[in-house]
Amino acid sequence: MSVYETIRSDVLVIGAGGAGLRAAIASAENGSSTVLVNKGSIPKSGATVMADSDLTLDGNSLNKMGFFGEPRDSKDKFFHDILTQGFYLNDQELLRIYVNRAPDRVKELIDWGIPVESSEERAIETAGYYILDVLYKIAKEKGVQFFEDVMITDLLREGDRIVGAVGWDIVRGKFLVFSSKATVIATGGWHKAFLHSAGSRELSGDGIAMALRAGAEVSDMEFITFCANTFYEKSSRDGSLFTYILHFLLGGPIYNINGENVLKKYDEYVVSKAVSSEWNKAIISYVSFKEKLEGKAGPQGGVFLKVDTSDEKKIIKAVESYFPGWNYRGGDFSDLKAKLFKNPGVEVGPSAEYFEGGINVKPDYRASLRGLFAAGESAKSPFGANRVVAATTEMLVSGEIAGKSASEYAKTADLIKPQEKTVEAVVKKAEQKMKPGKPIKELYEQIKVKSFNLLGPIRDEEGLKDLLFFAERAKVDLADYGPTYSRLSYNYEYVLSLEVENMLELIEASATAALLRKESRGVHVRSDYFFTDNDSWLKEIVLVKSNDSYGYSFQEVQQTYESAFRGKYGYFETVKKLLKLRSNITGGH
Amino acid sequence: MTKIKVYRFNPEKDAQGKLVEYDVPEGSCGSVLDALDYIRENIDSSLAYYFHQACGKGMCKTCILRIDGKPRVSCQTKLHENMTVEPLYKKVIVDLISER
Repeated sequence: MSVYETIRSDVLVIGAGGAGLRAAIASAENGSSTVLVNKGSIPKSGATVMADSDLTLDGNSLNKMGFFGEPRDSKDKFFHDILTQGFYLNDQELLRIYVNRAPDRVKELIDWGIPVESSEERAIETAGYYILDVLYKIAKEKGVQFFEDVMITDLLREGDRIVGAVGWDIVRGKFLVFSSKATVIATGGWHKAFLHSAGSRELSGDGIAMALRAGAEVSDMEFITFCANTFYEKSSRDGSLFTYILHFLLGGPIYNINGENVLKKYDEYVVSKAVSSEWNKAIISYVSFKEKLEGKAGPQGGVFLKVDTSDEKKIIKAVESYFPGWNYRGGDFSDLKAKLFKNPGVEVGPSAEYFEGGINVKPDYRASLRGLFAAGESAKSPFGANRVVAATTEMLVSGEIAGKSASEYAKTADLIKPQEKTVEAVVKKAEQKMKPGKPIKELYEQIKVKSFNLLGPIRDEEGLKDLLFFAERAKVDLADYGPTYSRLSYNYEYVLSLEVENMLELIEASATAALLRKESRGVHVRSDYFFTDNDSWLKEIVLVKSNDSYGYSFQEVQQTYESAFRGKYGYFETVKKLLKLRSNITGGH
Repeated sequence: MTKIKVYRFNPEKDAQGKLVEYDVPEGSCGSVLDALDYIRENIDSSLAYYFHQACGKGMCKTCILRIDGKPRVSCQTKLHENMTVEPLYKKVIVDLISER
């Protein structure tokens, strides 16, 4: 029996993006000893650090805070609009909570000192890294204990209760044991599993995967938002939102490799509404991916942004007023200035940006296992089948609730020390991946391409079955892959091996749900079921793992506050109906 | 090809670190981070630099290294001939990773 350093706390929070930091603050504030463990550095992690954050809330509350905000707006209108954006698949209780609590969460961030860059009808604009800095400062003041560069490999479960987790210290190369009364997972999405990703490099969905392995339920896993018009280039700039914002600012045509304006092929009303709001993610991602499927994409699989040269001066002035020096939050894009006006233009396309589904939670953000809670992107979202409003507001709302719920639970629960054999089994499983093998990056490269192509903005039965077959086989083959060198300290290939296992788990869960959902809804678009069916499919798919296979159930959406229209309509017809149901509030959200 | 000198130190084998020269192709490596990625992916997979989390787009600043003697964000530093890349701080853990 090896002896591991053991860190005890009332509440363990995994992940230091916005949701994890907010959860840790709530837990510590409520009187619980709180440990926050993070795979990367704090506070520079998660999707939050890269968020071009427009914190959304109802415009009336925003207006009352003294910002530009739409005074005619109300919480009910905001609720209704998010419901239509989510194709009525939203968990209405979670959505009520989001709408009701958003003003408090935004207000406190402002009080804590985030800089507000601008505001619009329903949002204030700031940067994710400002939010992280502020939350970190407060979390330190509340006495949260931090562990950086430690990747949790698995949860520790005794009976039906989660009692902590095992972590791998990436930099120092050793295992740590975390023993806690309650555990909050806030590890974000699994962007890393996709060829094109708008998230940072560590987002491999570790928390959702370990929750699945521990026997927790997940829900809505088929819904993945791809941000449209992200920058495509074979470099670390791939997936940047610079070009997404650029198109939002400038509008205009999007071309395929043959020079055809691809937006012209679709319903004018839908396109005009989509281009001028954050519906653009779902619609333009679909449109661009279709060009790729039809063989009309650029060398990187994308479409092109190009501006008519007669407007050059005006355009440059507009861009430079928003992006001085063509710099986007620290990133240099000045080389695009020349490309934007020349054929074929700047190559752009969809990148994995947001995961609507995740660990299945109740309105207090507890998961289906005792002692386990989840927040932010790793939990099921209130956004249903399509997210248009801000995930940054959501991470704060759910983080605060999950942290407080975990703390309350910890007050009533005993600290159950994980048994030695439980710890040993988890460590032993993680150690197996240290075994040298075929280069793990070769398997990872295959995964990225497969999942982007088959679980991307357009899916079909054949592709999903192919992907499931691939993932099942890859899980077996994984035993032959591993690091190519044995050094313990900062062995990235070892970390990648652990991440690959998690990504394969989530690909399997997501493809299983996507195959079951024989319709198109929100960001789940099936070319073989190109319609939305409100008579049969207003239900969520809940998955749970036992003995290495997935069990599933359908959960009818409780339409407590508002009911969806009935009937079965073509996908674009449905989008049009939903857009027309919008309240009288304008703006991007 | 562009030459780049990178600090290497394996705590399990080396008494002290040394600069090692690598050739990376021009064009495919725009930034110093791209060059380090290239070396890791094509020449020596064990090269350690803080990237398991980096954003690669200038936002998170976790890829800061000592480049030609100065602290610089490696994903936003353009690659050119004969650059020297070293850990940010003196107490080196492995290769380009140092105690913060």
